[in-house]
Amino acid sequence: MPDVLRCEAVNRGFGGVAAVRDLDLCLQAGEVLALVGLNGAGKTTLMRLVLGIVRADSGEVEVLGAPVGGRVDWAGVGHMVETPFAYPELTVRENLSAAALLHGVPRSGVRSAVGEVLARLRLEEYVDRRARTLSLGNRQRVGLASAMAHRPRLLVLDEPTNALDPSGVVLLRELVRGAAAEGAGVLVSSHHLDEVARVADRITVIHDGRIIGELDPHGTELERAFFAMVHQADLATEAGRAV
Amino acid sequence: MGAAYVVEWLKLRRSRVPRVTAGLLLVVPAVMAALFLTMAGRQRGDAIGLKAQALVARDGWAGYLDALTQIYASAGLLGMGVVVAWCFGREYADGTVGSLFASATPRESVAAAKLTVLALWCTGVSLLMVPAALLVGLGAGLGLPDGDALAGLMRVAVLSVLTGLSALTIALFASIGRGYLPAFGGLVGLVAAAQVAVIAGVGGWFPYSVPGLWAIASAPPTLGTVPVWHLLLVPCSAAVVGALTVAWWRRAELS
Repeated sequence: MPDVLRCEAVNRGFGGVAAVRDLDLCLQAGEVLALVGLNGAGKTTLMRLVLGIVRADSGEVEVLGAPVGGRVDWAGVGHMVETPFAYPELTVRENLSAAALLHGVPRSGVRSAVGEVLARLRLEEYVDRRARTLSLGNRQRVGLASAMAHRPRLLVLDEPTNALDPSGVVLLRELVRGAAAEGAGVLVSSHHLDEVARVADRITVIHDGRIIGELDPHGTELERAFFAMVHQADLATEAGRAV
Repeated sequence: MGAAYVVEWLKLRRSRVPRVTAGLLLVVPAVMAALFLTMAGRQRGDAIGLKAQALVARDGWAGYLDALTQIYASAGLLGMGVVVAWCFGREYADGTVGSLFASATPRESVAAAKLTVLALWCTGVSLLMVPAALLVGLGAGLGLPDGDALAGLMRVAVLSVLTGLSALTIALFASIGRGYLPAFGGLVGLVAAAQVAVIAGVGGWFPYSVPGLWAIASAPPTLGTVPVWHLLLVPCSAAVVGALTVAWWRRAELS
């Protein structure tokens, strides 16, 4: 399977504070890679680097075989990082049509793409509702639908289960596995270890801007393993400072 | 039409801000101008009447259009600037700007589409200014307008178009400042700078005061007259600011 995402020795800081340090990562087509870490670990910054929202200070980020900042085929990328694509004044259908158009779906194909993603996200009953009238969870679903309407080859989702109810979480799991089964690479971040264990092929732990190891999605005691890894990383950092 | 234009036009049509602002711009300055004319004509010698007479030195349609032009020179910039601030600032304030990254439609195309639909919106409002001001004038009992009055109405419409182009500068403030607040601060600053430029005697060279100075037919002689070709400063400065805004959207990251 080809790599849909590759990061090599990537560094990025903000105001002299390193947010991502010397980070290597790759994601293949058809694979779900989960990023887990504490708040401020660097998960969102990494995703923003992948999407070109911020630029790396050094290192290389390649998306779909092209360097970010170069000629990436962004039509093959879908994402939901932080705020969902849901303009409050537009209806659900209008939001999804707008997202599909902006993501390169030809105008003749927008109606069918929107109809399909509405069904997949179970949003049909809200189709003519303005986004401002939706609950937080349903706005999140609209954001997910906007990220997926054009059937991207790389899907980047930052904390996608935020605000979703249990049925929404189950639905998201099915959608992520479905996208991977169709050949998309999925990069997803979460705080919920149990949840990512159900959906991910690989779980990468990021801490203090570094990748410090991987967890086995099929393993037991994920939480214990996660905290042990973080603790070891902190001890190593302190030891490095002492030297 | 490109995807960005379709989407930006849809957002503009569906939002309340442009609709409400257009309604206010079409009605409030004209009604205020009619009220000033009425107050100036009372000859009671009270404070309000004297101030109205300072603004409206002539009777009938000429006085009404003088007042409308003076009011609109500032109110138009404020009103249109608010819509420009909303159009660009909302992407940052609502957090939707992140969704515009990593898209088949480049961000510079989105910025260019925003500027274009805003310019079209301003032009549409400006064209509607003519019948709106005409109706308010007729409602104020000024009778049918003569040729000079019709020319004055057209002058107000041109003022409005040029004011709209000037207001596009706010897009750059909203983009660099990432939100409404810097945009509104910039808007107030521009209005103040235009006044200062007029008082300092360089208003005829300052793009944000040129349209108003040109349009105010009864401008006091101390302000001087503005050659028509000075109006070219407005589209030229709008083009420069537009290019800077598009370049900013192409290059700026969202750290």
